[in-house]
Amino acid sequence: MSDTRLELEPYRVAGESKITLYLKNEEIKAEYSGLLSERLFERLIIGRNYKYAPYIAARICGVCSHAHFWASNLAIENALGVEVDEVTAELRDICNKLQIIENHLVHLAFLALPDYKNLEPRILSNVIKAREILKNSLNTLCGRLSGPQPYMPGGFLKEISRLNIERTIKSMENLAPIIDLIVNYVLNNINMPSMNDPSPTYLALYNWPERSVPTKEPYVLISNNTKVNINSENYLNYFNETKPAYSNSKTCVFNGQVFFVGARARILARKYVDLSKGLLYMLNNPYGNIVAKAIETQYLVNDVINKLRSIAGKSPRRTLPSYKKGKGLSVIEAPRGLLIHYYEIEEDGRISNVNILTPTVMFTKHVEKSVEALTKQLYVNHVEVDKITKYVEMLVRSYDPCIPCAVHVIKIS
Amino acid sequence: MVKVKVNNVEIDVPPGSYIIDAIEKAGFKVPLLCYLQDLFNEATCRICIVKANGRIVPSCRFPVQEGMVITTSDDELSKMRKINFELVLATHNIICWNCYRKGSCLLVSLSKELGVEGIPVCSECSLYGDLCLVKQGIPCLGPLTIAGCEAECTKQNAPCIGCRGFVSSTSTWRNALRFYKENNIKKEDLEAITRIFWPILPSRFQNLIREVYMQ
Repeated sequence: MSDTRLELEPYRVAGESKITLYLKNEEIKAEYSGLLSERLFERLIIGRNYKYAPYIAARICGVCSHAHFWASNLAIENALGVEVDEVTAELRDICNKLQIIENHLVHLAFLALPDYKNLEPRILSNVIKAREILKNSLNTLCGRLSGPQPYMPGGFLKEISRLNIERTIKSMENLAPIIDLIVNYVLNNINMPSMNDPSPTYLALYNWPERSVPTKEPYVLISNNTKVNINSENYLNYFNETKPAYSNSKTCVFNGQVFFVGARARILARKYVDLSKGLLYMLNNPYGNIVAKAIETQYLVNDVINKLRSIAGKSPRRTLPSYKKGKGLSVIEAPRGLLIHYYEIEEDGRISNVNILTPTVMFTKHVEKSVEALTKQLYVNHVEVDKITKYVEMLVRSYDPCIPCAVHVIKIS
Repeated sequence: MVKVKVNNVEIDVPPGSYIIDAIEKAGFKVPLLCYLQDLFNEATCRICIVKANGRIVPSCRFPVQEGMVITTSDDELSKMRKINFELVLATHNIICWNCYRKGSCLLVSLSKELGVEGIPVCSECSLYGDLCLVKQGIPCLGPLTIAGCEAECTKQNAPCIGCRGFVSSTSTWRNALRFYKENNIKKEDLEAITRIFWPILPSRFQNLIREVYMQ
């Protein structure tokens, strides 16, 4: 077998990325890189007053802007020693879950499903309808879908009325059958290539999604049945970020291990849905992230309805933070997996240090490992290069990487 | 009766009618600002311009002629209407934050229709009056930011952070800066919020901030 170098630029993923495959005899190496240039978001936040940091952080990503906005607010609250009340925490979590459902739907219908089957007009119209309901629900609860600013560190700026909550519950009840239809269609129409996960380390936030994200440090993560408490002091002992020469985005390992975060990791680490043997088999396959997303979408719609019912009639309180020196960390579950924000704030309210770890950075190495394993499996079975390319692209798409999130973290020297 | 053609639609209008009457009869519309039917048609704003036999004329003041071919919109007309509207806007003292019209204003709707960016977000703000964030002492860039976002942020009681860009009129800036000063918004706070989306402000605005706050 001669030396081969394949360069693939998978389409239908968020942002521009490239995967380079080096095939040399039995040795196969994959390099997954973000092609976007530096976006320097961390540097943009440094030196500003903490009040404005969430607005900038929310613009890291257009599709997960609520996740970044929330994580930024939460980390600043931890730094300033402010703890929000339960209703505020729950409402923020609900907004994030709505965005996760929206993201999953787009990924399932528009990005992943076309690999397996042509999209039918009735499914397309239902996805559009579902997105419209989700967009309106988010608007009712917390302003815009993209670039939101409904709250500041300390709590919501506007009272969320009972009527708005009831309206959202009604919308969610209308959404549930549409989601069922889309999810069942996806599950019935995907025929994944079989493969085993080469690095089965899954990391997720403990207790989520049954309970909302904790309002203060420490955050409990669960990986392979082991719980880990992380806070602003020790999080870098667990997460080790490096910047490979071939990419504009960083890569990350947890406790020295290549790991996965996201829908599949959440289900496998937390087991918050019943895992039958067949389902477990599908989820142990890296392609199974699509299945996990479908199951999670269904679960989250019902979860949001229950959570909204539990807070109906209650109003969030706002605590005004005062300027205080401190550092704070937040860990939340974004649509693509764990999202970590870390801030250091000076006495005058200025931010002196920021670190943002995004899910795509966390699972980049996992993508590379899976691609290597898949290519090896196909190469050994003498599959043609064209087909290898197709399967590799399908695999990358099943991870749903978000390159704009991943390349915000470059340091300039 | 006089036969005219409006955007290829042939109609009959009484002799002595103005082009605007023929356009309305044919079922078309042109943007209007100073024109008031039967009361005022002095053609002062020149927003209602159309092409009559290839010549650009104000439709409110120009009488129809037999066989006249009228075009109500094309690229050239849009461009000229935009320029004319900008000239009107330049002479207007923009203080939307204190205006009794509260956004229900022909200038606001025309600026949206013609795509002219000179009206600030305050014209769309639901917090108008006592709830205005600036009046509560909160730095909000509504008075300086181009309208068109339907004031989504201020609807959530969150300050405008200027994501749509700043209005370019110096007189609007001067009025807005005086408004900030009257409401005890500190210069440093104002500069901090402008730096989110407008990291490099043109020097004329930087000088203006200094000038107003020095007074």
